[in-house]
Amino acid sequence: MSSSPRVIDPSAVLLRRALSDFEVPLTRYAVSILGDIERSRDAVQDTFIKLYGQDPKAIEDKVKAWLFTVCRNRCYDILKKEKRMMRLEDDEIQAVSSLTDDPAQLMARAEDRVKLNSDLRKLLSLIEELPARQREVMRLKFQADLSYKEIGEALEITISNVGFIVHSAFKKLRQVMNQTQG
Amino acid sequence: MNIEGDPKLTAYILDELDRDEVSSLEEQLSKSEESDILIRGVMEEASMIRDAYDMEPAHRMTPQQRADILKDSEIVAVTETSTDKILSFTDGLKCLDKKKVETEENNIWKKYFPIIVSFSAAALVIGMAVVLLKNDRIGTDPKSKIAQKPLDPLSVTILDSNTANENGRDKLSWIQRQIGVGPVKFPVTYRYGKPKPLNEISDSLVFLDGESFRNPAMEGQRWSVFPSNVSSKSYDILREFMLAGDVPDGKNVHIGSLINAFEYNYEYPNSGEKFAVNAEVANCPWDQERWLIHIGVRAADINKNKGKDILLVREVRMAVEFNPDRVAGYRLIGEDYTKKFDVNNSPNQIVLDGQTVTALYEIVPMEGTDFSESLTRNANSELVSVRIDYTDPENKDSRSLISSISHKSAVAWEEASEDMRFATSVAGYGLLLGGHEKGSSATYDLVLQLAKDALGEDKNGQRSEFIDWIKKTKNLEERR
Repeated sequence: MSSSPRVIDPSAVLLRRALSDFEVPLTRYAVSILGDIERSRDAVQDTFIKLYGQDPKAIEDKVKAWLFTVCRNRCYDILKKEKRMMRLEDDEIQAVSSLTDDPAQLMARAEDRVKLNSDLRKLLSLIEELPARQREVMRLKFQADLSYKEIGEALEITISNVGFIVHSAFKKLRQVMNQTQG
Repeated sequence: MNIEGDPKLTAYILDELDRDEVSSLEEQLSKSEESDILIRGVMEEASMIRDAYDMEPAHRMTPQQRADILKDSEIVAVTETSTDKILSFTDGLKCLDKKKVETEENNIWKKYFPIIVSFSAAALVIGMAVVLLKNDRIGTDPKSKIAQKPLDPLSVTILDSNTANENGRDKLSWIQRQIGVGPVKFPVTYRYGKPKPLNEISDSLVFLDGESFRNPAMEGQRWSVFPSNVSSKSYDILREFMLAGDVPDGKNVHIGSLINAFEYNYEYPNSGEKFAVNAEVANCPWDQERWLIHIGVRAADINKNKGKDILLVREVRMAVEFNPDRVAGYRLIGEDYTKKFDVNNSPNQIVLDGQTVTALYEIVPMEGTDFSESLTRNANSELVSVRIDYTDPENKDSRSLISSISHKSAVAWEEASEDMRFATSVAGYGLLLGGHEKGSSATYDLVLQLAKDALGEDKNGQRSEFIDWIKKTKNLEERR
């Protein structure tokens, strides 16, 4: 096996690349929207099947953003279909879950959610308390490792808007952590 | 300006600004005394947030779901040298007769459908890993794609014409003389979780058979940078000694330099990409408890300015991150591992078009990740990932390319490629020369056999010449 094989089917290569790189982050992302693993797995599977049908040349440069966009839409389709939730407008989402300003109350809620056996778990639960849009952007940025540009494409918002959301989330987290620690 | 309240600072720290914005912000930051503390604070927070997310379970689809996705997308490939063989990846690189396949063109999918379906998830992942390694494109961040603009490469004038020759080997030695050294700026991130803090310096090493290896679980040891251009001086020294009928002292021969003196048949990157990473894992022929990781990087070839060497990229940093869950200890063969190394201060290196870079690591796999078990256990675990950071000289864009190597891609050394077996032979020879392998089963006979079986095409006779040196060294050593 001195020379390497030349691949004939770029779609199949793209699919395998994408599976290897993004299966876990996509499934985690889907779970964060749908809340259960079974339906999330289906959404992710649908996403990859759809990927194989694409022209690799057309999406090669933006596979990541493409996958997260399609997976996100798929998740919301599932939610709609099951009539558990209609897709909320951003403002409504903000209103549903907003970070309370009272650190004591916030920590109490955080403590309820997970046993506070580590700072990281604490941090994770604090992130979960952020407004929905911030939560989603943070997850895409820091768990799925998407760039601002890719997040902007997936969520259909501008890059500077993404930057503002990340910055606000950081500020909020820092504020809460300082207050609760100090 | 209130930099703390500026989303631009956060974007800067997260590496999300373009070059112009970076320089204007850096100018502002230089005027601010507290900016360092601020930046460090946000970096720590970012790293904590990443770690926090990492604590979530690594959800995946079921193996059946994955198999269903892959079943219709088998890859068929033709080797470049032997066009009458067709390789079927999902069939574990089984060779098929091309003619037969052609006559059954339309039936091929049906024909192999039952085989594909019957595969376990494990077999699929092996196929995937093979594709990954051979094509070097899985694991590549889309961000690392080079800019769409056509390259107008800088040409590098060879200042000392005596050192330039047609086989291109010596161009590496003058690069080292001509190019200054400076730190490469890059954010240190951890793909496999944060390392443990170092209490005592001895924590950073693990010991096996009296030899020490770096422990990737510990702070400062997770990353290993390997040089992206190495002179072939050691080979020239070896040749001089051999022609004079003598054996050089191991101290004068750098193993990394020796390995990089040879040509390897690494895949070229796909069009539009700067590098292809060819990586392989096999057990070590002279020590069953260790594995070898062979990393071969090929830089893109530019078909312009024939006869001149083209500066492809600069500020290059090639590094490996070791997964502490899989790797108990590692060392770069030829590296002086007692030296402390700082990832932030690696030399500012450049790479020329078509150049190859080879790094060979010895690793001690974690207990329970026996070579014999590697194909059945820990299905989706990465062993290491290779990261190449560089700056495009044309548009000054900083890029990085990441390729991961699956634990499952490990093979018995007999099944490794000729390139890997040859590099292994050179490494073994270098270790013997330096007296480093006294306790192991490395012998000149073993390295000779390794090299003989890995001759390949050997277009310029380099490998055959090396075989002569091994024989000669063996005879000379026996007479001592």
